[in-house]
Amino acid sequence: MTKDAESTMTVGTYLAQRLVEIGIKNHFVVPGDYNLRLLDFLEYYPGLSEIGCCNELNCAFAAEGYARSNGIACAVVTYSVGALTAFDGIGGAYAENLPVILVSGSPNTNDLSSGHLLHHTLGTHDFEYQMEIAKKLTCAAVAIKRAEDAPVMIDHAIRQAILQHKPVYIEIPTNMANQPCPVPGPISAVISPEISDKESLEKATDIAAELISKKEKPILLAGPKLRAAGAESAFVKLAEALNCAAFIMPAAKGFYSEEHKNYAGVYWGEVSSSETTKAVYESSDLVIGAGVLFNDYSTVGWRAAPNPNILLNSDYTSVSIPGYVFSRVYMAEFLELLAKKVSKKPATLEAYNKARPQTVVPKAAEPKAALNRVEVMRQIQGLVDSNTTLYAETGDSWFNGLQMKLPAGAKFEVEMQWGHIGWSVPSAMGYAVAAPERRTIVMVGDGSFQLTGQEISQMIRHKLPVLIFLLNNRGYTIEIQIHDGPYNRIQNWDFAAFCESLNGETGKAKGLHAKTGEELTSAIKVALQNKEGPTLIECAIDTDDCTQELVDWGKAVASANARPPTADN
Amino acid sequence: MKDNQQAVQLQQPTTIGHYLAVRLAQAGVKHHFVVPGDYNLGLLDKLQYNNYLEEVNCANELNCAFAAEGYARANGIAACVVTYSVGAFTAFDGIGGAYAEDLPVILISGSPNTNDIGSSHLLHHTLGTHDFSYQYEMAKKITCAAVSIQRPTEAPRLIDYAIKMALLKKKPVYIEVPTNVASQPCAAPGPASLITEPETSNQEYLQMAVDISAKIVNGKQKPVLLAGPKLRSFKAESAFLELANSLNCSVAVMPNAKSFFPESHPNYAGIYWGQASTLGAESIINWSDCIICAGTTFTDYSSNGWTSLPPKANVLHVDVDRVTVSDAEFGGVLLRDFLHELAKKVKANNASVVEYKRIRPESLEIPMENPKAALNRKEIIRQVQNLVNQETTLFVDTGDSWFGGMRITLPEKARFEIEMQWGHIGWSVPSAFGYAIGAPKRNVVVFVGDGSFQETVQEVSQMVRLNLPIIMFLINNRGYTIEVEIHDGPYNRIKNWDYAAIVEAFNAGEGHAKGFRVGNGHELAEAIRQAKENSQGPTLIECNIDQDDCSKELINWGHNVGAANGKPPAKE
Repeated sequence: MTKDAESTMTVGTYLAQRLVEIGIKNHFVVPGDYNLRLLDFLEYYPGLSEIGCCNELNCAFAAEGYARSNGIACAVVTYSVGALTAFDGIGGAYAENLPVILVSGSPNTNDLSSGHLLHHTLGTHDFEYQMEIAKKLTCAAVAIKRAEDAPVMIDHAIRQAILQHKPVYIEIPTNMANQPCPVPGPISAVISPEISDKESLEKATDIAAELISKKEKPILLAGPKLRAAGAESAFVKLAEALNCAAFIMPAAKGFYSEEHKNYAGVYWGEVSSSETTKAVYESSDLVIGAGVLFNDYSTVGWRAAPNPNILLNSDYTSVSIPGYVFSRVYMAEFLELLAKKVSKKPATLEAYNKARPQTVVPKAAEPKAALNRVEVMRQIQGLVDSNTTLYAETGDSWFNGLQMKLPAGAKFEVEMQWGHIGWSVPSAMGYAVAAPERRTIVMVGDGSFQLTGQEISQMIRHKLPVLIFLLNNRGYTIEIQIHDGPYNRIQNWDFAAFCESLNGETGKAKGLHAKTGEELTSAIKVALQNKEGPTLIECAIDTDDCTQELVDWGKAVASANARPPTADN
Repeated sequence: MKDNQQAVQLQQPTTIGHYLAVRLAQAGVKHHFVVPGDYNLGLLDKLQYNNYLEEVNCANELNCAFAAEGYARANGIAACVVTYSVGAFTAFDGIGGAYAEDLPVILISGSPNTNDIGSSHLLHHTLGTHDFSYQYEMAKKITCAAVSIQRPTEAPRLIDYAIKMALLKKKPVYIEVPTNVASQPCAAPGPASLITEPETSNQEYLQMAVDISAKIVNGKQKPVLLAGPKLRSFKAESAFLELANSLNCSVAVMPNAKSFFPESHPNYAGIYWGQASTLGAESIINWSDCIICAGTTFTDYSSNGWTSLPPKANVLHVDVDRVTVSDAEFGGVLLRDFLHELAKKVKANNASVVEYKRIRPESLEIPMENPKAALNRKEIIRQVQNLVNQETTLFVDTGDSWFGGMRITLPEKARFEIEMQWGHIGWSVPSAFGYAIGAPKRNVVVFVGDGSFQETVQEVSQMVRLNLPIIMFLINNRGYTIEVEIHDGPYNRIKNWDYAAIVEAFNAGEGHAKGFRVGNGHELAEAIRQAKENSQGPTLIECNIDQDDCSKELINWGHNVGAANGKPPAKE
């Protein structure tokens, strides 16, 4: 950086430089007049490319999707009217452990004490409410009010996003982006990773190894935090060292290769991927968790809750072993070191292999028969290869997706903690921006699609060949199975026509209808040839056509939701 | 109304869900707007069973909150029901809008089962922590009252409190109902008057304020009236009209109060908005020595980036519950009471009317374009003007639609809807949808830009579902024009869509939406003719105009607002 360049450092340039230095190449934006000057600086900074979004919910989800692929992401919105909606996607990033930097414009600093009322606000003289809300759903929130404070605030926020794998919030007044500020120091101060406390790490692994040595039937369980913690390869090492059965939680599908010799399926209580999976898991005498998270959805309404007496879990920064908790022990280091201290415990893997579920290859449906869910899944399975990322939207797509076989290298994206219907379309757009070499396939229901479907427009704009299978069964199936009522019926759309209407004059999106297996096969052929834009295939299936697992799971979750209050004392 | 209120009163113990349903009906809600999610399904059942409430589905929660906000504009109060976190967070944006615009919207959210609070359970649709109070804490920031029902016995008191506050303050409120609580028993609701009894002015202060104000007004040479946006919410339009008639002075209207004073009234003097003023309003305000500001609020947007404010020394300001006159301030004086009483005490003074007749610019009719010439903004306004009648409500979304809308002359009883405080692009589509449900006899016409439309497009499908004959004029100039004029950059360019085709995609072979794309005056006239014939669904007319075709008022206004935004920080 030359002396001349240093003299041009502004708050906007500082932020832009930091974003590039942490590995962000694209930022997601919805312009609004409180953020336009800042957008100028990001726009013209080399190495940063702007992705416009249709609205702020989609913008935050697109950033969240980008973070899934890239590791970290940035969304820029305007004050209040923009940020309050973006907060929903940011809440999702928080719940799903994804580092998204939400940047919002805010009122001119001269207006803070002027007695002025401003547009895009509640119409009061309080301009702090957005920051107060941001604090509740980010791990760090900063509001820059003086240019000289900007560097330390920006660096602090970004570092927390990286360390905690959570979203952060940076508020930049509309007149601040162009203000001169100090130049940044080395990026290593922001990105260098924390390491475990040596003594705690040693002791934690010693005690864990000792506990494992006393057990006959330990198993491994990969949880949704495994990827964010950067511990996927360490988990594999531990699986090989123990040579026991290794299970995954549903939200961790794709984080551990299904082709690995120790893979024993998705454990999800009564809706696990096979009876053998369930039986072996539940007969184990120690569950070694890596980044696990148990909620009402992942425990089938608490019916598959873990036994805390036989649960050892490595979380981001701590390890809990029955009777012990160790802080400042990071997951990847813990798993790696533990792998060196344990001996093989193959009983559970042997039990699994004895009753290994046979792969059932569904027969092709009659080509002209009415389409059904099983046939749709059979044909999608044929598309999944090592270069595929499969997105499963909230709803029956979860259960369909979990039944898909993932070859090594294939990836799977799901949003099982936040569970926002409609998440998949904008998230897949952001993901595809970050990973243009992968084939992104989305499975989404008709009700979910209606929340966020316009983001296909940005896939068109950026020529992203995302393939969207829209399962149209005329309703919110997941809610129908949890608790039905007429509110779960929706207005039908011609989704294929909707998709193509987003082309305008120059777009290359294709929208296709499939009512039979034959039509679906044809549609997929057309889709695979479309390299210049997204393709949406509307698959018409019966309203009642859903997995038995969703039926079972829905009843259990509804039961948990409806437990009556305890009587007051 | 009294019979209706009595009819919904129950006599025996009921459930919390039913209690809420009855109270909503008593408050004047006839439709509630919903997006189902598993934390609210039990409650939705209870609301459905009430014969006085009808459920309206929305495509997402932002649109749901804006539809409720639009319904409140037509009906006076509204309710929407969403699920926890994933639903409410987005609804909060529309609720912030309702707060900014003084609209009473009751936001009801499901929440986790009460047994899970304090347990070690983590739950779905949450941040993944053990704190389930964050949503309630957030709601407090953007509502005038927020309640979270944690014990069934508390429910009646909390529900009554929240709804009463919505009615009194004309602001949104928040009611959180855990997923397992809606079916729990509770006491039957009492009389509607417990929640609907209106606030009254402090009589002593009212009298003092009126006496002093009348004395001042009567002592001035050139009084004028300025109508502000709070007149409608606080039910003061008729009192304001009384005062205008008594005083017989010129009446200017703020842009976000258009239609709150009849433009057909002989004393109407146009929109007061700095350089964007119409019909000479700015001149008459500047000329006056006594500007009675009723329900006004001045922001950077409504003051043209602070370049256009009435001179403080000449202002008598009447807010919703206080009056500021010379050096005195009177709290506890309600807007409509004050205006009503003042009307009795002022003497007529038509000096401003005389002067206004002198300075009023000639109203130039927009000449008809060559029917085959490329369409432009003025031709659109001219043709839409012919569509506007007494039954019309015109919605103008954020952007150049504002300035085009100001040019439309409103016949008596025509209404105008704008969102100038919150200014959320895309607001108009779902808000018009909710409004049309609240006022099914009115002709709803929407002006929306292409960028705004892309934000909230889905809600057209709900218009299709309910056969609402809303007419939407989509002004397509390939960008966010309002931002272009405030501060331009490539981020203001957007992806073009085939808007006519989108609308018809929502029919799915069953609906009656119509989409047209027009490029000249003849095509526009033909599209309007067909739109008027479509009584079974919405019609969207995409009007293609040049990217640079926007009003000079927007250019000037954008320049001034941009300057206010960019004012450098004060030196320390």
